[in-house]
Amino acid sequence: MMRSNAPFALTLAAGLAAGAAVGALGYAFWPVVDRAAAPARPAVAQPQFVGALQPIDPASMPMVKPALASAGALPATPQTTAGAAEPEPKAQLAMALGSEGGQTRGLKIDPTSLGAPDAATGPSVEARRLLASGLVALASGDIATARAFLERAAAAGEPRALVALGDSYDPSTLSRLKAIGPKGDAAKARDYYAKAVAAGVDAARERIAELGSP
Amino acid sequence: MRTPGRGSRGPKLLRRPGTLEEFRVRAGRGLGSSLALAGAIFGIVGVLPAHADPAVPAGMVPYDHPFYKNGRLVLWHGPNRGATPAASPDPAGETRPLVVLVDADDARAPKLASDLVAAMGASKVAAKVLSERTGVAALAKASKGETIDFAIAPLPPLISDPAAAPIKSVAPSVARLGAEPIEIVASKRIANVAALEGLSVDVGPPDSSGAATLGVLFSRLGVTPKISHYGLAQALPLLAAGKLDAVAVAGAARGKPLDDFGHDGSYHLVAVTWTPALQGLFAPLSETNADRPYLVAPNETAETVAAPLALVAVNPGQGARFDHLAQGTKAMYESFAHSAVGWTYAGWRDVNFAAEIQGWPRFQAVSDWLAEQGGASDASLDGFRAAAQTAVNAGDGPGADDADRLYGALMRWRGSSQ
Repeated sequence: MMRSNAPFALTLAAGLAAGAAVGALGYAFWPVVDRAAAPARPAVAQPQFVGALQPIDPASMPMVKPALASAGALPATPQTTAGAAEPEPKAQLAMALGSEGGQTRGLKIDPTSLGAPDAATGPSVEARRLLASGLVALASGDIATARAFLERAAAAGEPRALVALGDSYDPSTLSRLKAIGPKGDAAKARDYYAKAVAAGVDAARERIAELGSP
Repeated sequence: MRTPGRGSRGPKLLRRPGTLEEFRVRAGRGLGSSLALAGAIFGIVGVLPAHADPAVPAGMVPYDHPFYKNGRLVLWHGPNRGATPAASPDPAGETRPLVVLVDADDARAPKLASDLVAAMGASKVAAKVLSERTGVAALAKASKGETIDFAIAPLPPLISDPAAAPIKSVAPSVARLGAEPIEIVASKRIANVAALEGLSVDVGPPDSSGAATLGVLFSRLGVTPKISHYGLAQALPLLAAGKLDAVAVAGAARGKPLDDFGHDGSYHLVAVTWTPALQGLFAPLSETNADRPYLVAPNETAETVAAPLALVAVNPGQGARFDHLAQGTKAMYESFAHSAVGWTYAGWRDVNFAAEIQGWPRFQAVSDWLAEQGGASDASLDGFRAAAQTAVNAGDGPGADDADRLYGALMRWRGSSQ
């Protein structure tokens, strides 16, 4: 047993000594990383807590045009530009919109509850305001937002919104707008133009002619 | 005479395999060898770099301590190190992947960012997504550094929160992205957003894009609920337990967890009706039973609004950093202009990458790229845009009275007789 234990002890001791010595040397010479040269942490590594959300005083907000402006502040007839769509009876627009089952991109259009147009007063203030918001978005190239407003305007009884909706799908319009991304849909454009014609907006006929045959 | 099973060579102990003694010997040798080998490797790895004696090029100065950059040991530096930084850019900034920051609490933004990364990748520009926070405070902090290159942030807080004013000059827009739906889940006894006055509403983690967006929405609508910041996954069980009155979220994913909520039919999407107070910040949106099967009844629609997102360049500065971000910007525009990539969500296909953002500056690289595309000037289009700008600048925003003028400008641009 003594003879057999001697190599074991020597081997173990030598191994430990060598390991400890080399390890100690390695540890001693292990480089120290320059923390200043370490990559910076992401600037937003931790959530930034903010105080409670403070509501603003509605009175200090940029005020909106008086909702449903008083009748006296509005002209008796809509200020349409020369040649613009003459106000058509409510039923005419309802019929045009209803040809798609009264459904426009998730917006349910009930032809029997359209706010306008009325033969005497034309589209409501709300419908015209929605049309204006949609056209502003269209001018900036924000196609998706424009459609959201224009669909509401059409549902609220503004037939000219149908022409603008057709434009938002018209490949020719999108090309001239230099849009990056949306390619348009000639079939949808033609459909909206047709509805606009049915609602009494003659300008849409030219658009349909420009689009050509399906 | 040889004993059967014994070998003629080797240590005596090996002739008795399986004994405790042999195990001890082998364990000792193995342990010793392992320690020696480990120690040697440890020592060599540790000693070599420190004792390396590289040939230092003329004019270069060896570091007096181990110096690492981008994970590599740098052995020497130029003679001017420590002096005033030269105008030349950081080489690392030119080659590392561009980082697109998205909000970790926004379920859709990471997919949107992945589409943008793919768009850059299609033009051989490396980029990656980082999910953290994109509220105003987080963006302000990111804008002071150079580790974030682009960020997808909600537009309402950027445009309307006074705290975002300092960001405006250092985070110009690259593109207007898709809009995210605002969804407020509550018991059916709460009909609309005005009824949330004074009630407990969770809006997601502090300084998340959702919390920032919902803060603007409530402020604009003049509603002051009691806000909590649990986040959608934690807040829904609290809503079910009656410990919260409503859970509001911006950009929740289709599917879990919202589509697993409200099976009993006692919850719905609270109506948020678009009003002119939301002009320029939110767009109207309707959701149907197809969008949220348990929160919108069949054949009904839920009125709500959508908050647009923007891709902004974070602190582009000048020099190499500007060039690097411009390279990524150009890559995205090229990819979407040539349909080299697509959007994950079908609804984003209507996104016009080049749409202008009212009230927020555009990254110069975008203007440069658009100018490079050329094309004949279009006076009638400029007229249409000028009419729109006039309506926006009117103070009250576009109103009913602007509709006729804008429609006329549209007709003139499109060459129609109206």
